[in-house]
Amino acid sequence: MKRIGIDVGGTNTDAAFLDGLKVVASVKTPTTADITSGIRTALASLIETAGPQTREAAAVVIGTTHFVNAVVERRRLTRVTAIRICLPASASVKPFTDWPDDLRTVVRKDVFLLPGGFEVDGREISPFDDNKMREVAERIRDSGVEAVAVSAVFSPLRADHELRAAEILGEICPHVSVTLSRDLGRIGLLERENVAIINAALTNLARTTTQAFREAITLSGLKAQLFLTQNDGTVMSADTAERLPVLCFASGPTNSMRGAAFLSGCSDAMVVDIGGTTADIGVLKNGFPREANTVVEVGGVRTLFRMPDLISLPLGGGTRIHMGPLRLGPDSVGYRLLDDARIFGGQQLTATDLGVASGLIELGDSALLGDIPSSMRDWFAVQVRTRVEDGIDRMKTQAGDVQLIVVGGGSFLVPKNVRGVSETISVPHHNVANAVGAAIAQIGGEVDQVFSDLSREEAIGRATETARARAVESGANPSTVQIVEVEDLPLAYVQGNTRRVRVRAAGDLA
Amino acid sequence: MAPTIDERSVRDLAMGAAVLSAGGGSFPYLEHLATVEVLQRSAPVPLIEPGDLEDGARIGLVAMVGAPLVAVERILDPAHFVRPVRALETYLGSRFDAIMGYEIGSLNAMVPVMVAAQTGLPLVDADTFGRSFPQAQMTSFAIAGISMTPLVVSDIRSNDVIITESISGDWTEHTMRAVTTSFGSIAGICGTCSGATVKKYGIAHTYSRAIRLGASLVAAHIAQKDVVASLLSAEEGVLISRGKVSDIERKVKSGFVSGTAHIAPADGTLPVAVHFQNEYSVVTVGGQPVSTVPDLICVLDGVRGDPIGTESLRYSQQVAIVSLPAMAIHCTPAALKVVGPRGFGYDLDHVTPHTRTAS
Repeated sequence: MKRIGIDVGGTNTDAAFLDGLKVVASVKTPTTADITSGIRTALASLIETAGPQTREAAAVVIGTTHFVNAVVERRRLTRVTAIRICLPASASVKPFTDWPDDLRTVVRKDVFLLPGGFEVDGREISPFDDNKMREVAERIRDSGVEAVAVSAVFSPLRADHELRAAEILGEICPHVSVTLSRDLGRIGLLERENVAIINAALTNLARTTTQAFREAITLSGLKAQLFLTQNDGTVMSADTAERLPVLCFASGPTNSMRGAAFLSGCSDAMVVDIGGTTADIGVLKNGFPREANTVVEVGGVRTLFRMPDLISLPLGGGTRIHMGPLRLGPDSVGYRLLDDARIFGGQQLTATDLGVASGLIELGDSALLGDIPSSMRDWFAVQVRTRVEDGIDRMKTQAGDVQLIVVGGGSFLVPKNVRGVSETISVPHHNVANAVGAAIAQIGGEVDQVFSDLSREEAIGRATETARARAVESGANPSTVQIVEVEDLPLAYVQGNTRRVRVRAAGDLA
Repeated sequence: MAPTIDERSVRDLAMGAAVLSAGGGSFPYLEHLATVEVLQRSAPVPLIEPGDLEDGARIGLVAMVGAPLVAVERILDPAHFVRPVRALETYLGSRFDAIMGYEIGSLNAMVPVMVAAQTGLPLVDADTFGRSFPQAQMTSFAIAGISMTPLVVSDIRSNDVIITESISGDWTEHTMRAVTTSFGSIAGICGTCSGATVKKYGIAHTYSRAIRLGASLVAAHIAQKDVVASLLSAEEGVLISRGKVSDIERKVKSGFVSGTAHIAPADGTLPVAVHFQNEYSVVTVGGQPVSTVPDLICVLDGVRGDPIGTESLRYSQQVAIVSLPAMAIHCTPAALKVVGPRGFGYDLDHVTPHTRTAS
């Protein structure tokens, strides 16, 4: 199958064209403010390089940081009314608690608490109250708010009450977009609710952005289906992305890691992706990024949903070298590298300049560097090595050496013989690993649920079945679906052999 | 002079309570927010000196019982924990003069503050654990043989159960747990004792200790000073080791998550192992025990200084292992039988690097 992968980053829009498992062509173009024209430029350049067969691509898979940037910059967000179904429980610590003031000010509309929700064993806390929900829906309709986030206690276990709320909202205010927390988050009411509210705040932006993506594809003369990549390295249809944009938040680094796995043929390894500003380090397990199980702050808000477990070090090709005393970063010249770095005629000494001085890469005009004393080159080598080695060490979950795949424009910075690494793997097309990762993304299904009164094997078996079914339901080819992650945690205080099981499955697009 | 607890100092209290949980819990984030909410609409809670209680004073003892993991969905509501207090007052036919907590560790340090703020009653600067321990039989009251009954167990939906009498503390706990499960694995409890009992068997000054501990951590953090060093000087603690978690084993044994974290010291000295059963219970250096329960063994983030609960320990974390002195009341022969290493199934006597106990 022919596919195009595109990664829309803050600085560059990268694109790759794949025929089956072969990377036919790849391009790197600047990201534009309107996004659409940047993608069109990338696609045009790709068609020029790979020829007319590019137009035969069946799918265009896009990864973008657009949505998470909107939250971080507090721009283009929609106002949200939050409904929590919980009473008489969970009436304290109301929705929007502990949000940064500036974000709350632009997002919060109204907050409603309603009877319902579930116990850890699946019983109702109290019955859902249709009449009260109707009253709330009428007030929402009259308030003119465009987006609603609904959360219910233990909805990852039982979603009935959230679904019933959505049904009533659909009847009474059909034009309001509704986000259900159970579609996004894990156990942890406040964090799951936060994710739902942020998602609801992005629904207008998600609609216009996916529309812009579709236009860019059509205007480029492609008939391909549009997919967006999500945080766990799998894809979703553009329609799903419109509803659940938060699931695209970390698709950039995720795509790089997936691309690294594909290009190296190595499915269990550490990956370091060095760009202009940062070095992102993650871990591949069965070809997918290991997920963070902890709270991740997005724009200052605590969230808990599927995100890759990453560390980001301030180390990239554009990292500034400060004098007196000598200091590496943490700031970077970023996209101005081609103007500001010494080798390109600029005034700022950068990591790339020292890379050239140390003979790690040939780039620009080394004569412009002037005299770089060997003591400074030695200092630089030690600084980079220490940071990379510490970063790799922090990401390990057990002792022992690991394989390290190195990707990204700044990958020449990674030294040879890194401590704790058995083998350093360089791959072709490493500059566009993220676009390649987008092109090869699979369709996934996930389960995170508490099971009672089942043996460990039965509980995992049941979760595995559901995860497979969810992947197929989303469009995966059943014969290619594989289980990529199984995790279980016994709940110490709850009686009756209770455990929380999390399973992820993924397969090729059908 | 005991301090009051207001919406600012409650953060210090929460941080100190995380330290005193000795790994049994992390920073009680949600419960701290819930308590701040109550304090924003009530007067600050006065902490009263246990020694100043009249012998006949009636004390309401409160706690949350159940599964902390359920509390991340069923966020603790202050009103829920006032219910058993009012129910027990009705049963006894008299009003309480003050509120006291059973357990200063982690989220259970917050519950009595919520109740005191909501009812307007003062809070006794004491508890019955002095820290976190996994079982009700480990309270100073239980060790002294004081009955837990009458005890009210309350549901969030107006369901209250009064255990009027039990033949033993084990039976009280057994019954309480069964009722709690049927209430959704979260219940508020209230028992009672007299001022004289608090003076004789309570563990005094644990609230002011937690606030002091937490304040020194928070202040050091803000000033970007060495948080671990600040804690050591504030509490006459002993630094056992700084290093990196090199391996971690966990298993579930009779309802508790237990295991061992191995630490490779940064200075290359002998390897350190921290054994835990819900809380950290024994530290060894080169295989030799250097500090055991009832010493307060804490694992702190090596950089930020935040206390790390046993559930959050991860491979390759930079950590500092610190031992704080045990409470004097936990070091009597009778108490050591229950809360010393043998009470946790280790074939060891109490080993400690400290020359004094905490008062």
